[in-house]
Amino acid sequence: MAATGILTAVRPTRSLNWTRTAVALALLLPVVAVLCFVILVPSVQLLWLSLTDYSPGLGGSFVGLKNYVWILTDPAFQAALLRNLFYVFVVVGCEVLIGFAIALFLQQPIPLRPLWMALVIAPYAVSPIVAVVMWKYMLDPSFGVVNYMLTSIGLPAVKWLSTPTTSMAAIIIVAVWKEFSFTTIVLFAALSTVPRELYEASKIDGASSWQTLRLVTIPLITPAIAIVVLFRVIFTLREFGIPQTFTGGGPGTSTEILSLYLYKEAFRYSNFGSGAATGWIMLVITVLLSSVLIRRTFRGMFPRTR
Amino acid sequence: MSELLCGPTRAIVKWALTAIIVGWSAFPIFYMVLGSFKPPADVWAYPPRIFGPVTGQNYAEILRFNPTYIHDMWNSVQVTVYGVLLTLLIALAAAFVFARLRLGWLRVPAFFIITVRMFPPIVVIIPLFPLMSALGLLDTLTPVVIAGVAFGVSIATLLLKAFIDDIPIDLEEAALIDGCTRFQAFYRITLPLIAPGLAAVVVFTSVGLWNEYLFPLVFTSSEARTAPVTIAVAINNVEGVRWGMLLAMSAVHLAPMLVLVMLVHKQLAEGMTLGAVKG
Repeated sequence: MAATGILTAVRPTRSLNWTRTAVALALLLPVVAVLCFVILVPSVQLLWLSLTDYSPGLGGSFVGLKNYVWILTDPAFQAALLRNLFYVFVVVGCEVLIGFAIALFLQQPIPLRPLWMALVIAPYAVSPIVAVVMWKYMLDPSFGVVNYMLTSIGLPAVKWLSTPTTSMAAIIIVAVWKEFSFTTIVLFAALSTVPRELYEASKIDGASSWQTLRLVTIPLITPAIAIVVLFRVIFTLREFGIPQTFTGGGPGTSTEILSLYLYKEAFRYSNFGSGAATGWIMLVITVLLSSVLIRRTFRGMFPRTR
Repeated sequence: MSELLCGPTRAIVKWALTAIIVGWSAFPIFYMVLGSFKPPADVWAYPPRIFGPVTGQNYAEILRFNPTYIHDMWNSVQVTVYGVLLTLLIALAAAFVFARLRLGWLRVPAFFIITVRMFPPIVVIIPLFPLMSALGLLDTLTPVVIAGVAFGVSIATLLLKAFIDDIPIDLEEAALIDGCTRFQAFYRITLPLIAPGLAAVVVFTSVGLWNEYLFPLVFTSSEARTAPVTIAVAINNVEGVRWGMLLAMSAVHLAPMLVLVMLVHKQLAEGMTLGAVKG
């Protein structure tokens, strides 16, 4: 190590190392304590709860895997799981496509670009509940501005929240609008790292814009796209506020995804056991999907050269 | 595309695409704020009216139909302020350790912090609900603040660690030679230098706490209810939605965060990228 400062060059004596350990422990304690108390311990408790028939006020006793058998054979759970996968697929797909298109466009020299970048990030400030207010107002079947736009270009008006398909479409639109800022910003940053010379070289070689995009740009930013997709999949899977306030899972159960199923089981029917089992299934899916990101972040934090 | 279009056509296409992007990003916000200032007849008008009389009537109606809204907004303010202060305090301490102290075992807490960051908040409400009930903390701000902090503190720590890493340790060493303690060197020298990053972390954390819906929904009922829950109740009012008032309530809730986000949008964009690609 080239550093010559007194903090790094002097080989720590045993007592100095002990002091450091004590200081590090004391400073890490609050974060670790909060995370244990709010996330780790409850998650372990959740596993226990999922093996009982607990309900608040009544207590519970051990029932083994009964809750898992019950939810896995419950058609409502199966439908919620499949619906959730579909929802994640479409939402993340749209977020990445829209984000990529906007990022690509904003890479060009455009007047007032910083202003447009700022506006793209604006939806990030909006609470999911307020986003629902905005879109419910705009999608209203009788005075909504979206139907007005559709009919004025000759398309039929849509009764958004009245049918299962259009309700799903409505919550997907809100979710995509609320989160596309993230994909746009990260993909914009990724596109900025592609060396200019590569574009010039491919132009000299006679490649069309489309060929350059397909053969130069996309391969180079594939790692960034993969990370963005993983992040968004993990965080879309748990979506709760938007469907809960917009459709409440309806009409019928046509927009009920896992988080709504869990909430209904636990807090409406007081089946904490089956709610917990649903939660554990969500947790396992999340951790499996996250493992790549976790490893990557960990390596980024502790580079091997150290 | 670029070969086919040149001159004025190209400029027009560019402006049209810019208009679409801006419309998609900002029109819903603009339309909500606009609607919140419309008289009742215009709120419901079809075809929708963009230009028309402006009134503050909807804002006056908030307190008539939701007398608790000031109280709920104040709860949101408290949750956000306490949450941000707590997050900053404990995340800075941890980030300092990860960035400046070289100890092999730090890998263990680091792995822990990175991993639990991914856990879905909805899974912890089931075990936390009976616990908070037993502790007598239901319908107080405490569980909302603590849970909100727990789900924001990991990313805050990782971002702060990355920002501190960028400041050369030599500066702190120089301060040590000048007689500062290790702690003074950190907060007098390094802390001011990471101010832009710190601003991004404050805004990230504020947005998360201010917009939090699940925890106040589950852990509060009336005394400690925050604004998003009140808005959610008003959206699904079975007696019919008072749109003008609802838009005004939403605009009031959105305004402070929108201003904050616009103020530091550059640092925020950097933070988002760092959090995804590096953090």
